[in-house]
Amino acid sequence: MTTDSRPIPIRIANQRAYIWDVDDIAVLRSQHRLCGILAGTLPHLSQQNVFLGVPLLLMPEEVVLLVEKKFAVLVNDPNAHQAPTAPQLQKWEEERDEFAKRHIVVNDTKISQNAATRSMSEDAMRKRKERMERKAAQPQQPPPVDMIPEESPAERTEATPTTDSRPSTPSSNAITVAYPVIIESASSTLEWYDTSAATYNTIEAAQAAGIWSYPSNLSERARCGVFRGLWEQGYFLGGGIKFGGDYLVYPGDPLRFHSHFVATVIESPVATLRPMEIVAHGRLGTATKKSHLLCGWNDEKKDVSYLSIEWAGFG
Amino acid sequence: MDDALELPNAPPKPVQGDEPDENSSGDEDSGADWTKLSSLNINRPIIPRRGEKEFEPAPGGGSGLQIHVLDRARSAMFDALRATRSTSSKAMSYAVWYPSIARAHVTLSRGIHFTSMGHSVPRKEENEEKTTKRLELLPEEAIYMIERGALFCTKAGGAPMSAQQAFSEMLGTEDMTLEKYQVYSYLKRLGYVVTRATPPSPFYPVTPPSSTSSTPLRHQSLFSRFTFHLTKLFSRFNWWRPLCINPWLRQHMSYEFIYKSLRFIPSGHNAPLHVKHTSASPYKIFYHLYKPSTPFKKTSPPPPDFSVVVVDARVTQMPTLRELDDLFGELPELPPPLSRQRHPQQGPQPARNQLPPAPPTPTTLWSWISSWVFKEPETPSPLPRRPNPFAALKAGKRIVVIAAVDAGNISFFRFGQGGFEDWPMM
Amino acid sequence: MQTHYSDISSLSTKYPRTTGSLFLVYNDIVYSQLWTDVQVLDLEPCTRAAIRGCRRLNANNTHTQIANIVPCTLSELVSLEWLDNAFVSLDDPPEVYLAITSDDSSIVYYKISRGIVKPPL
Repeated sequence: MTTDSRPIPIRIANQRAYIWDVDDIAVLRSQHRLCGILAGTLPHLSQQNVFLGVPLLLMPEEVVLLVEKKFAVLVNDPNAHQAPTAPQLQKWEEERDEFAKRHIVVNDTKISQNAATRSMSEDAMRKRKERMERKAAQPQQPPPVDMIPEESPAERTEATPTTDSRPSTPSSNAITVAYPVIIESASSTLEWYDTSAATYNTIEAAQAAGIWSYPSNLSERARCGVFRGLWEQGYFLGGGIKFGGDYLVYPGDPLRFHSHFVATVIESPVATLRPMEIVAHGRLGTATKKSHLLCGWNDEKKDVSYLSIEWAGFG
Repeated sequence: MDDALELPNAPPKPVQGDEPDENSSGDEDSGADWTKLSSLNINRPIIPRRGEKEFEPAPGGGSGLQIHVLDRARSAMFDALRATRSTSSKAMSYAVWYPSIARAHVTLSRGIHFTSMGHSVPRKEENEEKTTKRLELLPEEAIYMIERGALFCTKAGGAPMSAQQAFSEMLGTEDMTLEKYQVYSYLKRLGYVVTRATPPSPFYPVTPPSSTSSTPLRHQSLFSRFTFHLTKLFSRFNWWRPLCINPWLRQHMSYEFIYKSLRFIPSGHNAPLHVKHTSASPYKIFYHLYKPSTPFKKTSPPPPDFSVVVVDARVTQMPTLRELDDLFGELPELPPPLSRQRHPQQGPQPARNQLPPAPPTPTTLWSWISSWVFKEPETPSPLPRRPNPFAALKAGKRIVVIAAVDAGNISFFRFGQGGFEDWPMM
Repeated sequence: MQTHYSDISSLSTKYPRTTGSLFLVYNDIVYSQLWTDVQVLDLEPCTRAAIRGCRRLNANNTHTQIANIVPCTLSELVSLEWLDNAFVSLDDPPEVYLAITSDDSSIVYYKISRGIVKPPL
């Protein structure tokens, strides 16, 4: 994979941080070892919760790390959604109608498959080739969307940004033939989406603008410090709430590897720790083949010290 | 098949997060194997099992095979994420989002979603004098429909809204937060009907009072308060001689009666807590939940199957006893669960033969008082069929589901009010 | 046997509040876990005594390992600094066993290692 050095725009709304562009999600995961959590409904698999879709929701610790490392910038998303000018809206409507017409023509002449292939970008072609090579026996790509089985959504998406194809509203032309209407996922495809006056390069600037507050106290600073400390050691991190901790610590991408640790953040070296917590963490960790990490944050020295806990194996 | 686990079942197992796969791989929501997604049939999606994971990458960033398998998993995931929201022009619904009133006005409604979503509101159109009724969606309903690719939403000027814009502009309005929306969409994806517990406007349909248990509940709590004071009065009266044995009634010689008489500290949830109310609790019932099997009428919703509280786990403490008590105070009392056996055996049940059968309402206090005050023998019930007390205790008299959301991770917890005082074991 | 207890008794006088857990853990280590060469050390920064001995790694004592135990009770409050001090006073071993005793005389042992030590495969 080629490295991409462009800072990733993190969309901020209501103090929550989202990634909407799949390319950005890929860079975050492959280059920066940050996973976030998918929070959206997959349009073609909308009755289950195992596989979710965009947006990717970032933990506040991930956001702070990304911005401090200059990998990302913060975008005040409500402000970036400007109202389209009349020409912009007109252009969009024309393209939408054009797309609908083209689709109907394509349908009529039964060459939709060829058209889809023709309109594929080079990138899409390459990806498709890779997919074919990966598994010859594997059927074609993700399953198609309702109503239009002759075209696979993956191909169409890849084609979308270049052809700028748009859906139609029921109002204008009296088309009676069915055609697909597309709802855009990310706003970056909209011409009037403008981040130039809504972008912040530092956490402090975003805090001053009132769109982002994390970290605002010792507890949040400790979490950011520990998260960064573990990340800098090369680990992947995920939320640990289901294991009674703050983070799950993975030796590699969670897609392929089990987590080794459940980590808890301790705000200071002198913060009280009850032996019962050590027993509870140690017991749970042993039952799940994980060690427990106590991560102590020193707010004066800005460093983290670690203690690993596991059952002794006797007694 | 994992999706069987995700489907709502009839027994009170309302919601569950990731399967409780305790030993190893249940730890991450990204634990599903995306590479198996591509071979799915669209009409009847089968969720593949989790893929096998490894302990750690080989030294130096992973072996060639590991890198290959990882790349394959990642690109399967990214491909699936690139899927377009696309629906046939003949199935798409349309709406206009009005930020000032936090509602999406549905201008063209299609599909089955609207049997359980949206409500009718009389609004005055800009140029018109009279009000007309129109169909409107709450923010969560609009976002969910957009996410499913079933609703094309525009701003008032005709500008189309992306899913991203819906998240940015609709969340944060009408008490809707990201956490609450995530719980909403999670439950909707499982097929539940989800409505607001507190109507956001007078036009929002609520459960008609006649058919609900909320009115009897209010009566009942008044009633129990009354009986509680009576109890106190009489217990003060008999403080030093709690055991008044009436020589004429032999029933009063039973152990049950003696034990009851000796208890002068009230037990059970009808006794008020001596803990102050906290100022603003985050623990409020936010959603009403209906199983797909429950007949649901949008204009007159039935009593909910479940009540759901949503909290942000990052900033919310565990609920206090007072907070839980306040939650349960709003909830109707549930009948004890029916025993599974058609003909429950009488023999091996715990010895509690003289108690009245299954108290459908908590009459214990009342019967206790009446046995004291009026010295009347309790009428022994002729019908011995009663639910298994352990099932009733496990189910609880009142149930509330608390969804704790930690940066996108939803955990559901079910809190039940245990009616131990109703089921003495002797 | 008597000599062992005389070890304990001097430190017990010095740290009377932790005598209970020390005595429990000491007996368990010597008579139940069958560690050998068990000695009691003064762990001043933690105001208590620690135990050092050879842990048996197999049945016939051909493999042993010198290990350190810090006893404490379930009702105490500790901290990372407290644990750190224990490591320093014990000459920085890679790991320390925390023996946690409860009112009913039960003991649980947890291995605490400095740094990020991954679980066994």
